[in-house]
Amino acid sequence: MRILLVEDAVSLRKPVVKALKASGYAVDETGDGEEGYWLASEHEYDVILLDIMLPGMDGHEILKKLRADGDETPVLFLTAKDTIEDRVAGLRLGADDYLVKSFAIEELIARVEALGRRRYQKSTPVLKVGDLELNSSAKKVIRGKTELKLSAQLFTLLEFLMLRAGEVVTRADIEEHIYDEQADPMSNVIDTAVCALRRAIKTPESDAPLIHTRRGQGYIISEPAE
Amino acid sequence: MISIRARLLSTLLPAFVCISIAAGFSIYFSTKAEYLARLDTELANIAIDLRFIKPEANRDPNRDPNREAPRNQSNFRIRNMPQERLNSSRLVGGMAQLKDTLFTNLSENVYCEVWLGNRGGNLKTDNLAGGEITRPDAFGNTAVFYNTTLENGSPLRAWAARFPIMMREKQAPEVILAVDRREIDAALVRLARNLIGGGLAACLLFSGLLIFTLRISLRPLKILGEQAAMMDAESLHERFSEQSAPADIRPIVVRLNSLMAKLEESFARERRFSGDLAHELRTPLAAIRTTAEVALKWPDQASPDDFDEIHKLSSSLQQTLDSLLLLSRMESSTAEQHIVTVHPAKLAEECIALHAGKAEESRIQLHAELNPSVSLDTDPRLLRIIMTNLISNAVEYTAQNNTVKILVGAEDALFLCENEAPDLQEEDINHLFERMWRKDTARTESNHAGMGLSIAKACANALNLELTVELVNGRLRIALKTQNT
Repeated sequence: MRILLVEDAVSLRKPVVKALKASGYAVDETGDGEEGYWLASEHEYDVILLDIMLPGMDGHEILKKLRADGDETPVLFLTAKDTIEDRVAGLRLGADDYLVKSFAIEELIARVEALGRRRYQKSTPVLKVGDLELNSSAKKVIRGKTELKLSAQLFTLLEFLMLRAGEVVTRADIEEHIYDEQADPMSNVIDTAVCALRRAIKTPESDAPLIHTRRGQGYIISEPAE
Repeated sequence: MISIRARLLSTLLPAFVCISIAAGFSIYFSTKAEYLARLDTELANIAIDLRFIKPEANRDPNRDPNREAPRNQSNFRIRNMPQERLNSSRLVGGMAQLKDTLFTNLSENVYCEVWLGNRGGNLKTDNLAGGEITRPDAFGNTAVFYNTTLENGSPLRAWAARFPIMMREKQAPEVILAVDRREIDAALVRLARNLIGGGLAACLLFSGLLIFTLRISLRPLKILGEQAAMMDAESLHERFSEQSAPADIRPIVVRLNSLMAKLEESFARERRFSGDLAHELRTPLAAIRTTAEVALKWPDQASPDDFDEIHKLSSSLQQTLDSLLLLSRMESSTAEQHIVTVHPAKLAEECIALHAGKAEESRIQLHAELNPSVSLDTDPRLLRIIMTNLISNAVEYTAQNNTVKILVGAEDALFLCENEAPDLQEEDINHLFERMWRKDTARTESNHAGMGLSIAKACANALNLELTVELVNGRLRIALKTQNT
């Protein structure tokens, strides 16, 4: 999943970005409100983390503009303002969640996951395709009875494909959601990653292919045909 | 505190009752006096009639029936009655005749008693039936009127006087005339009853009217009270209606609205302060916490820079907390002062030296004009805090390649700090000394939490000095002046 973090305090932004990346998310970051709005408008993010007091354009204004543009990306306000009025104002503008500084990083990641699931209308952290099971909270992948060890990036890619199980996912979608701005769009990093993922989810007991290539379209994850 | 309504009721109602009672008494006694005066007139007329009573023809055949008794020769029968006759045993019959003559024309409700004097005996009307009318203390030629009671309990109004006639050697006869007072007494009782009943009814009616009028009249106050009761921190933007307020309470409403405006401003300032404080404390705290948690959870992501960041953030937090504590001490006047003679120029030099490095780093010129002859008795510690904060503020917010002007003993100020402030507007001036106020509402990370000028102001107040601020052609001038400058 791809996250946008708009927070002007560099000292806080840096560790949050680190934590999100370590959890397998692609993260774009900025400390300026106007740039944040531009990024949110230009890219398709799964979750946006917004500070309220921002230079250029404040968090409320960014959210208001995004909703006016028809952008329904889940937004989590990350702010020092903790009064009921502030929370209500944020939620009324269309924010999906509100987290007051200081927070436990685990809580922030859990909320980001929940918002990401909500985006794909999944109420449970456990995703299943055939005998492949992914728990996005526990960060576990099990095939049959075997627990698989995946890198953070492969886990994110698998999660993204499983969230959209049965649908064709284009390379552009994967690039947009899994890789941040620093990824080179011209490289074959996606094909390489998908290939690596196919290998990673194979076990001696269960090696039926789950990720299928749709030529010219993209990839689809679905149960193997009988 | 007793309510206005209760106070008005407790004053007006007893006053009305007292006035009603006084009026009732006045009516009662004036009516009584009038009734008695009527009785007295009646008695006086009877007395006149009695005095001028005419002899009856059949009892005095020698008298010319056509001859009128002259007014000054009244009751001639008594006057001409021979002494022997009056004293003789035959007087019994004569007395009877006299009595008959005197009392025949008297109506039945008139009592009369006549003392003929010097053992002359007395005559009384039959209705006295052996009883006697109480005599007045003294008889005279002038009539006296008095109330008396018969032995049978009948109340009487009596008239008593000597008849101004001579009866030879005898004294002039003493006459008491009386009429029954029962009718008048009954009328007076009825009047008293009516007055009491009417008075009570009037009091009740007045009470009701008073309560109603007070309720109507005090309704604006009640509405005002209800509106005031509904006011809380969330409704400070609301105002009491001045248009609908009666003229009597309009000054109060105007004052209340003015207080509400001040309260709203204070609450807004406090809210701003608590929001800013939350930001200033929570953001570095969140950064420290997150940095530490990330380093713990993903040790491979940690770097020495994280420790450096944590160190910087904790120092900044401590600075903010120290500033708050200092400000609190200054504002509560608990800071002890050590007053000595101070030369501000020397202190200013030290403070400028402290900020020279930062100014050089930001390519800011510090232009100082320090008059060494200026001195004052003050606390050098607090004066240093003021100067340091003013210079620090100027260096922090002055753009590169600009000049900060620092003066001691120039113009009308003890100390003056002037710098370029192109972003500041005139309306910002009022907020400059507010705790944690920053022009940058986003409060992006900075070395300044917005406490410096508040601390400088609090220190100036503690030293009985004045800190003034003005914006002249885009330059901010903050001057420290003595109170009488």
